[in-house]
Amino acid sequence: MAGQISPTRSAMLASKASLKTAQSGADLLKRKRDALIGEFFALVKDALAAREELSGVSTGAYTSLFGAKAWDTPEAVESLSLAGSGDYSIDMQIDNLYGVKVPRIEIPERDKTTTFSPINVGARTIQAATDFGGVMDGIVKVAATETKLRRIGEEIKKTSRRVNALEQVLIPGIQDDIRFIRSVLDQREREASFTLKKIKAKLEADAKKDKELLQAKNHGSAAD
Amino acid sequence: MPDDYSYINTRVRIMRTKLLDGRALDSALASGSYAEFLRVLTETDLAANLRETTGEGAGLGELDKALSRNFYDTSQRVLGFADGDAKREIQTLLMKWDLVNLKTVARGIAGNRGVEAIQGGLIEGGTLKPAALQAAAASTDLPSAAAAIAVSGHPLAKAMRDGAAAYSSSNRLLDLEVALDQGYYRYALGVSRNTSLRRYLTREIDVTNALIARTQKGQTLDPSLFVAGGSLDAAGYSRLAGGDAGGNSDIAAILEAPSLEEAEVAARGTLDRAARNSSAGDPEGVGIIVDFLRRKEIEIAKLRLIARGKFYDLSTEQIRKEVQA
Repeated sequence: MAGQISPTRSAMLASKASLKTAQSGADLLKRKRDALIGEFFALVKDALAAREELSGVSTGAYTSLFGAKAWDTPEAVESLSLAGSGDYSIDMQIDNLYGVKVPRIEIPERDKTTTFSPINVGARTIQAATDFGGVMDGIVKVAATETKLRRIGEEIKKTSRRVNALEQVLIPGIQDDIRFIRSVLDQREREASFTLKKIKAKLEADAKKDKELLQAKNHGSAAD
Repeated sequence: MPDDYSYINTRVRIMRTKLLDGRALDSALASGSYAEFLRVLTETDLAANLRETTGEGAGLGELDKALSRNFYDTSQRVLGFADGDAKREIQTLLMKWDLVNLKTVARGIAGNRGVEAIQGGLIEGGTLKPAALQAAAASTDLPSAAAAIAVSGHPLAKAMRDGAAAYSSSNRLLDLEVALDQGYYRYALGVSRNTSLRRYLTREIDVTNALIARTQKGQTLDPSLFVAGGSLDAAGYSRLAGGDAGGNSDIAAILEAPSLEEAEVAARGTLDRAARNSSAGDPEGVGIIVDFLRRKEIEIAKLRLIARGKFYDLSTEQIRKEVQA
């Protein structure tokens, strides 16, 4: 970098301005990273709770299914799975969290009316169907929190990389440039001062010589 | 083929002795692993159906199929002993499986699941001819499926047609299924004349109505789900929502059960007692068969429970609790 930069005073001023911008950028990014880390840890609690809830409802649902398949026959239970359309709609909005786009998912109120006839269907099967409705809600909740968590995590990583790039590469590079420009300018200044001194000495020597010549000339005419 | 129950019941009584008793279920429960459980089963009369269950990669799916096959084979064998009115009465008991198949066809067609998915979900039990079922499964719409069933002359064809019409007007599969269920009970009550089968069906309808009320606890009861033919009329059914069992202790036990599982345990107990009473009160009629098929169904259900418990490595106590529920 230092090799490509022209060692002028204006380049040094520009480098100093860049250094200031980079330092304030790094500072801002660090603050963003800290805020995101705060959000991340707050969300980890929610994500763990959602996972735990899902695990609880899943255990219950699979226990119900276990009993339903045994008492009501696997064929009758599996037949019910053909009935649903498989559609599950959710209300999703995108929130902006420190510049990170994260999803906000609203879990819809579950329709409690059965889509199949409860006549000739065992209570275990009905219970299993209800419980698996809860599992669907749990999965959506986990997906919402974990997607948010992943996005924030990725942004923390990205921000850390940017901070590192600024602190480890860009800022030291600009500082090198400034040092290089400063040393070149100092060197030039020293050279200029040496040249001036030389000129001054030469001028002084010339002046002295002229003066001596003039004195010698005056002395000769007085003797005549 | 004789048309009298003395012959059929003699055969069924012999078959009843081959049902797994408490000791056999206990040794199945005591087996240390799923493999050992299968080995215990191969020492019983179920062995003939279990060939596929011990193959490489075989799991619960194969065992479920084997147990279902055993149950359907047994029920078809019982049906094979009968003729005339007796056959019609026994057929009404097996039509529960026709209901499952017709619902599978209806659900598959309404949900656009494709012929393969529908045919894969069909069971080999019941009284519907396989060709009629295959034709119905291959239909593109519900009226065509109902027409395919009607061609076979099956008693539930009218219910299927009514159900398809109900679906066309409301676009709700629930209406079709309810029409099928109601049609089944109408037909079964008509066939059962004044026999122990009718008493058993009456009890089953009461239990069904009570279970629906218990399932919909806290909600307004849907009057279209009321099954007529039991001891309750439509007004009595609507009173179930308020917990009024009309002085019937069996219905009260279902309504007051703290959970759906316990409601089902109470319902199962009531039906077991009703089947046993049918058998005791009608030794020369269909009662013996009602009781036998019920016992066989429970035996298969218990074996499924034990199998699942062993497959998932649950403790024997946990499985025992579930089996004895």
